[in-house]
Amino acid sequence: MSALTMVILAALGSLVIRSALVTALAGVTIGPRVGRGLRLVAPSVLAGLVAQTLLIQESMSESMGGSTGELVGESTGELLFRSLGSWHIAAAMAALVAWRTRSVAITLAVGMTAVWLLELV
Amino acid sequence: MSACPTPDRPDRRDTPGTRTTREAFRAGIRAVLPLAIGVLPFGMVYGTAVVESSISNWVGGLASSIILAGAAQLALVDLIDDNAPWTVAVGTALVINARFLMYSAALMPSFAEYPRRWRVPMAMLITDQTAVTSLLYNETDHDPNRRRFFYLGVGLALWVSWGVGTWIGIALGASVSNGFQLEFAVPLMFLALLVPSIRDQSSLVAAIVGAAVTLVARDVPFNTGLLIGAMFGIAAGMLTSAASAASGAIGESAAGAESTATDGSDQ
Repeated sequence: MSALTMVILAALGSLVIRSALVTALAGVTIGPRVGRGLRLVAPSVLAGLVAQTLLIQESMSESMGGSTGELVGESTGELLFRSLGSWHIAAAMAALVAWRTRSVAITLAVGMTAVWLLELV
Repeated sequence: MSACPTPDRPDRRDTPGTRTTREAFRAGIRAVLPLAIGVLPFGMVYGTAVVESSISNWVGGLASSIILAGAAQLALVDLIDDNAPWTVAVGTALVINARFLMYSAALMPSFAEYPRRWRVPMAMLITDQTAVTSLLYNETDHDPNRRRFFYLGVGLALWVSWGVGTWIGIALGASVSNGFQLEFAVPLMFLALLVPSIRDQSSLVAAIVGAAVTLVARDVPFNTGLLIGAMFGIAAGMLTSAASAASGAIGESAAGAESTATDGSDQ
């Protein structure tokens, strides 16, 4: 199957996932208990995404490769905890700023500046 | 750059009650502008991955326009490049996107107020950023028309930004230096959305449990760890909410009994 077909299938499947509930169950009345659960979707999913992207990374194996035989890194597919470093410190600073200001713009600016400065050190 | 108009930091230039739909659309763009800028490096990281894979640039670029999901697209490109069976490649992308089912459930009450013909096209724009920004806005404005146009402003701004970021990444290719730490924009963006969404004890518990279970379940096949984590997080948050409601009720009944006893002793 061609890459284009797979991309189209993934797009159609994603559209079904996104639209199934908002079209099929649009008229259904939400009870207070379900409503409470739905309000917890964002913090649960986002915290999982932060944990996955901040704390975990794929392990890399180094090998000689390429046309010139240079040292290249290749993913082994193994998921390991990222070693403590600039990302963790910058993320902690950004979280503090987010909590104090609740501003997405300031949080992104502080976080990116912090990680650049920490990488320079 | 304006701040996201969360209930904690309302955008003072527009009071929701006085906005027209056009103003709501613009407010949506303004609210998501920092995130749209944050999406650019994420798109560039994806564009670079496309260039470094065997997939043609235009197919990789097209994916950004019609799938609109960074993590799923990165996994899809990786698996196609590895010659994985199409069922595994497409299936993995869809499992990663299954979280959109949860967001669409959360958006369901507001979508129910929109005209039927708008629902599917609008659902195409559901992403983490669109859902969270719109859900926060919906708490401040109850007019269905303004909610719809705010959502469209947010969704279209992110769609454009994701596409532009992808094509910049494709154009620059491997010259996008890791020295800029562009990958860090991804967790940072999710973090900037996460913190304002934690408003009480139950949402804090949901976030902690969601993150912890996702980490524990990181090796579960097809990237389902995130879904498992989210479900545990929601369940834990609901239990916390129920427990605090019960303790509140007990406290009230105890106070009531004490008050009755005091009243009786006074007589």
